[in-house]
Amino acid sequence: MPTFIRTLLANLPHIALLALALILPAIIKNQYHLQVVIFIGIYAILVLSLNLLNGYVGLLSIGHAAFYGIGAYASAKLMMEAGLNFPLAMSGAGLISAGFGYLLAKPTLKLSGIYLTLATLGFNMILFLVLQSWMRFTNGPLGIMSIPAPSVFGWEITEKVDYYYLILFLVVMTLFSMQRLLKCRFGRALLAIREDQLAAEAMGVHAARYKTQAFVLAAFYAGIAGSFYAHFVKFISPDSFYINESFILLAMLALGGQGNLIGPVVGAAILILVPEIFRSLQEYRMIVYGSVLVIMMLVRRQGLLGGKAYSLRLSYFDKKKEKEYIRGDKFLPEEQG
Amino acid sequence: MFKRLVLCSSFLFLALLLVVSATPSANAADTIKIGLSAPLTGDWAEYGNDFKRSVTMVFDAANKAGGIDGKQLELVILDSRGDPKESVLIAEKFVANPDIIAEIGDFSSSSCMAAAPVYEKANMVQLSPTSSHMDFTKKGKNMFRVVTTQGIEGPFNARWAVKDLGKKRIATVYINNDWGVDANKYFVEEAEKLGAEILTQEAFVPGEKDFTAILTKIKRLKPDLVYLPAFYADAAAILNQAKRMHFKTTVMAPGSLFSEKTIELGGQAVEGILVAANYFSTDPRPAAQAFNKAYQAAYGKKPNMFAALAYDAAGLMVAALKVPGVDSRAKVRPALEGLKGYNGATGSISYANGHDPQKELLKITIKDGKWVVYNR
Repeated sequence: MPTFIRTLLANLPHIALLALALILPAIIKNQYHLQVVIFIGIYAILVLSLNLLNGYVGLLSIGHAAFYGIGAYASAKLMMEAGLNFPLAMSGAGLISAGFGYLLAKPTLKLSGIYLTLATLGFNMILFLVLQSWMRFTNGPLGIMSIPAPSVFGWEITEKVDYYYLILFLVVMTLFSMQRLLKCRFGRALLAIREDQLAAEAMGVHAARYKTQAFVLAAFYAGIAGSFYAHFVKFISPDSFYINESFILLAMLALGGQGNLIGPVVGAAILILVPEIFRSLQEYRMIVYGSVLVIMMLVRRQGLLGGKAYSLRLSYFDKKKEKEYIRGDKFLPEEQG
Repeated sequence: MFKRLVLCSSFLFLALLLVVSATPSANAADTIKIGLSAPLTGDWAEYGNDFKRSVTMVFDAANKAGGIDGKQLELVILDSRGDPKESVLIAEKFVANPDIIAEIGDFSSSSCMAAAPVYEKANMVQLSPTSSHMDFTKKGKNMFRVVTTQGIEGPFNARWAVKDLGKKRIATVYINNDWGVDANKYFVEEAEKLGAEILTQEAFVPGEKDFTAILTKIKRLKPDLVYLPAFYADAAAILNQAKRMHFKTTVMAPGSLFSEKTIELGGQAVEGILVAANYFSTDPRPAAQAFNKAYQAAYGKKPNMFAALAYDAAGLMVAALKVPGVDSRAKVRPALEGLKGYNGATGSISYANGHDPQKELLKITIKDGKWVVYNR
């Protein structure tokens, strides 16, 4: 069998999934359903970026919504006041968010465990207060309104379908770039740090530098998601980036399972879908939401797809075949037979 | 074994809920469907449930009286959690359902404004009882509100304070959210125009518990009057702390403070505060009295301002639907605009000159631990 066909066959599940995603708008005619799918996309990127920290490096960040918010505000401001076009504003938002990630990571990564966690929480609270109080720049609690719709090189994005393809592109790019990153030295170094920082350092892994890089990267992806959110909903206010949002991201990650690239997407999809499906139960629907999480923690503590490596292998890029395995997350108790 | 049991039973439970929630409603042809988007859970659950109670009550009454042209009204209630993102999803859901011809809600301005473009695009009326953000009704031609904006309430209070009471040295303490910022701004603008001196404008973050720093500063400035755009929990805390500091002055506030809770939490400290209210439970106007009676009969408790505003929103909606020929989304807006002098529990409402109602406000105060009409 020629290699070409063999690669094609090996990639078949991915190709089928992507093809399904591409024709999805033709199947889903209901605009509301499409909107839900778009939100799943936004949260998938956010949870994937959080996964980089919590799942791969083992840093427990609980203030991730801060970077999401920075991205949203930066993108809106760049487009409305600096007059940049959308692709530039979105990348700018990612870079600004990454810059803040660096500023936060540099002093705080010397902290470890609970102290680092508290610092990320504090950062989120401070950002919320700044957005809330800096009237002249962020328009405070009144929020920024009428954020322009994006257009990418002449492609005017106005309809839900257009937004769907944009977020699909972003999710695929996120998955692809993360997959590549985690496969190279960088990703292996992160895993080594998570499993045992001392041992990793003894092997020549510069732990502090890799941790900072992971932090900056995670902030970048979150900033991109924030930028999309701002131009999609077209109205942002500080409420959307409060610590509750960070906790929702954490819940999605815990539910889906961390340490691989599939779990976060599944977690985001479930926790967006559950409250939507049960929306007509009115005030009781949050009970369903809570019970899903409780049941998960009782039955499968590592998350639905946690503790295992799932291949997102693109054979074209990975010529060498190797079996990869990841030891269980060290924060979780060993699974009992 | 235990795990499997938990898993099985929970799946069964979820499946059951799914069936319950997906049960189709009555025959669509004989009903007119109206959506209600309100925060039934989360921080504002109390107000969202006020909405639900009032609107359900009005629709039930209209249905008992024969419905509209023999058609029954059906309310589709969805929970927004007070989250702008959720209210957008609800808007999409309502708009995607061709049977729903208009919407009531949401509670907070940010939720309403995030959802507004969706309703505007579908040409569907969005009637918010409480959204007070000045720009809400500018988001499109389908946005209506029942509450008076701070653009009206603020200047009204400023005239009361400066012209009627002759207060010239004024300090303000306001809650730093979308509502508080506007409430403070419009009061200050008018008061300055009338020649009062604004000594300081102090914002506090929602959830703040210790106000001594702000109060010490204000006490030193010796104002004649403190204007307090806040909600009752914060206002009661501020005034209690002021009392402990032996800081006494005239206090004025927007209608947000009209609640039994203000007295319950504030006690002696809130005596004599001046409030311009949208709605007042012992308001002698017949429409307000009718609402009080109906609400107490249905739910056995006293209504508050939010319940009254939602009651009027539902009443306005029913009145608009009763206009002959109103059977589709596009026709609800002209019908609402055509209502002249609708007599609601919160005053007379008409949308002919814009979608922000101009209502007369009631001057009330607290005397001997009771809300009473203010008279000099």
